[in-house]
Amino acid sequence: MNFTLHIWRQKNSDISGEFVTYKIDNIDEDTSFLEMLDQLNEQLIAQDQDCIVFDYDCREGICGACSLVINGYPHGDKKATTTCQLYMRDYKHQTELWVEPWRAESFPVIKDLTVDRTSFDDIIQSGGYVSVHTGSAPEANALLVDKHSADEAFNSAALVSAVALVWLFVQMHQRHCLLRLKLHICRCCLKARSKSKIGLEKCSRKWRVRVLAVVQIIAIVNVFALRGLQFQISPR
Amino acid sequence: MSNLYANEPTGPLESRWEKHLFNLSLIAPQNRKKHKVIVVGTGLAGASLCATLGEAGYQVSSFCFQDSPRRAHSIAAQGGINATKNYQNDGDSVWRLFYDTIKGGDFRARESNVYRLAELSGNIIDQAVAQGVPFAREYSGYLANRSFGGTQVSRTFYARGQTGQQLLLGAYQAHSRQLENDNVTHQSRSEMLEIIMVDDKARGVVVRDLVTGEISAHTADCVILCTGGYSNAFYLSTNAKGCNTSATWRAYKQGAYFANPSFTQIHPTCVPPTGENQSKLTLMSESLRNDGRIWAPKNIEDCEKNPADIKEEDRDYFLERMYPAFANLVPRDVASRAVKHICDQGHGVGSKIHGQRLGVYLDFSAIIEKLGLDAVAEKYGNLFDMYSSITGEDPYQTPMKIYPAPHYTMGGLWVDYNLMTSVEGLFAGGEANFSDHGANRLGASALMQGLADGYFILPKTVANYLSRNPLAEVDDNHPQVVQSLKAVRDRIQQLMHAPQPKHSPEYFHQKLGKILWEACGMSREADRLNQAIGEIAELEAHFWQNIKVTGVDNDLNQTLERAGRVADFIELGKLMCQDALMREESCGAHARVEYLSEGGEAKRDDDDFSFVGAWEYKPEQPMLHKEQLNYEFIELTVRNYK
Repeated sequence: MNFTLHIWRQKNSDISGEFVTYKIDNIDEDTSFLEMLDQLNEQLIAQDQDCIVFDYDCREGICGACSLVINGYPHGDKKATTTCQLYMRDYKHQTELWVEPWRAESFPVIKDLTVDRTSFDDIIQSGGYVSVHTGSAPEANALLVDKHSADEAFNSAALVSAVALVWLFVQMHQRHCLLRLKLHICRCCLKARSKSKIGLEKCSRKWRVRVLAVVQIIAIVNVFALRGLQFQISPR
Repeated sequence: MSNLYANEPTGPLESRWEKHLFNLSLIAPQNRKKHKVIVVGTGLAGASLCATLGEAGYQVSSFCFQDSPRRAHSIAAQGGINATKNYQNDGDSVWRLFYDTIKGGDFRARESNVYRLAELSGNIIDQAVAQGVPFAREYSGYLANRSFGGTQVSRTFYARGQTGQQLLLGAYQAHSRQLENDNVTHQSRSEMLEIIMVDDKARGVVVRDLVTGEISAHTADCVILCTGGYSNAFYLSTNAKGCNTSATWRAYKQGAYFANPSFTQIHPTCVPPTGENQSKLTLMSESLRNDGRIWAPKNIEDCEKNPADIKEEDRDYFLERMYPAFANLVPRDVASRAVKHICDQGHGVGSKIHGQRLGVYLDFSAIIEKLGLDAVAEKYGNLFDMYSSITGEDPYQTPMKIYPAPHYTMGGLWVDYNLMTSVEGLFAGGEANFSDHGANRLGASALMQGLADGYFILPKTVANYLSRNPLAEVDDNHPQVVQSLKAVRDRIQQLMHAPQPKHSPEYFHQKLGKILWEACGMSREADRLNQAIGEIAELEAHFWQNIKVTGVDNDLNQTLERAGRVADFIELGKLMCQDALMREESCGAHARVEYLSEGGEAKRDDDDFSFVGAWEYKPEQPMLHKEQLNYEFIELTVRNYK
């Protein structure tokens, strides 16, 4: 498989970036999307060029490090997945791919395709935890949680990172559409997304940011309410 | 060569930790603020340690190379966490978990440490449940358990196939809580590149800011490394791409002994490799072996066929045939070797790589027929989805294909009973240390060990060290600090400006991986190891001559990051081979071809090799120190899973 790739290159958050076009040939269909970018980077090293920077770590769809907006879709157009779980066979009917970073004010571009997502950590630090000291926990089976609630708690807990995505999607949709983006949200996000439909278009920018932050915290607190059930949520 | 002592307490095993706790010195609450502690790595061990030390009132600084502490590789653990709650009333006890762990490790772990781990395991579950970790539950509301490879009781707690993720979120949130309370400060995207040594004690670290490339020194009263394992030395492994040995290797270079580097676990159930450009392998949780049956075609000519067309009588359920008692649930090393053996004999399935088919079937048709699709989906749904997204095949319809891959490293920095390395003031927790798993780790024991170290052991032993060692302040102008900064900068310049830049870090990493996988993987033998040591030495020279890093060093430069990590992997790779060569026996995951029984079982040599091999760095040749393992409570037996 051969591809023409338009990849966003940007030196840092102070300088504007641009799409740069590269060609890559002989890609096996079982190659993952990120492995394809690895191969492109190998080409760049051979040509004495600076590599394209992108975030990744586990490459098995669990750590949440990878990002990328591919042909206008965050994490590609496959449903309920992460970029590292995309394979080139998913793109066998395409020859031209546009790859860019997640664009949102709360996630400034650090370099090329990498963005700064510490705002997620800020949200968790401002109350997204259960206040329990090490060593002070009661016997685990002392309080029972019925299976239905436990399952729902798990589903919500697995949402924690997905909830965070919503924030981005809404922002992208409203403010930073470079390409004409479809608001395309993975299945597991739907529930959380409904929480953020509160007429944000009408708010001023400052309030939009605040409301979204609150929505996030509510979503996370809900998660904990479900997860912890019997435990007090931190008052923050 | 000299003998090493682990500062273990004596007396009855059951009371050792309790007695030791009483003997450890304490620091009064009002004095804790005066002590500064550095924690490198924020996986389960690191995050839980930061949270606990922060709660206690110490000044804690943590660092991780990922963009957030919650991305540490603990997140990828799928199967579960062991604990001796005996909720299933199936005869479990602290003693049994202790025994299973020692036996599973093929009698190469320290009794006192393992017993302590088993003792603390129940408390970990209490802690995690209190944090809201959504473990699986029964309809009655009680916590559910399942059995896991190498055991005959159900003691594993799990959150579908995402136990590590859920436990890490719990520890991450506990860490975040202390950040908010200003007891802990944290820097993400920061890689530790040197330990600062003052008067033979670890007093700080040199860190590179991965975004700006800035090199900075951070001093403290002690340093704790919770930086994970080194499976990525093999290039292809189930570890996250960023996992590396650099922190532990820098510690080794500063005098911390590296123990049992050749004890690396090859996990039997991974998605087989498909091509030359593959960057990593993906694990399919071992829990799948509870309900899946492993088989290969009896006839070599069937290997190309669609599995549905192979008749039942032509299928070789080889684990059930070879190990009737444990069958598909034999420990990881036994299963991996059996799979390799079958593929080496030409019975493998799947695509050919270098002329060999690397894969066997893991079949769920029997359990789907018995329980129905929904029940199986409930248990393994996310794993099946993961498999089908990677391979494009549907495991509900066609059997999965699996092959072993490097997954966990039992070896690591040598630590004593206090989890302190041979360098004073330098501690190691979680996978970064060598303790507890001997020559082979049992399933669902890594999460348990990381959290036991972080929540319950290190906070006590670190306090003891701080209390007993009054330390003078080290400021940023201290000659050792200046020297460490210079060493790091020089090394970066060396990587950036090789004499004849020619090849990328990936090029060298793949070469190293190939050498290690062939010589120091699932089976090892003296000639091949000797040859590999020579090849790695050549590769090392080649690396420093020809490494090519593009871009600049004062910027986000992932090529530079990789180059530094590969340089350390190359040195470590050599030590792994030297250790494998020194250990003239087979035990657990370490299988020396010369010391295997006809059935492929490991033949231990307890008279000569019942020790921990701890290597001390010397510029010429590493020096071996032995910590003799004395089994006072357990009788050494031949590990038999038949």
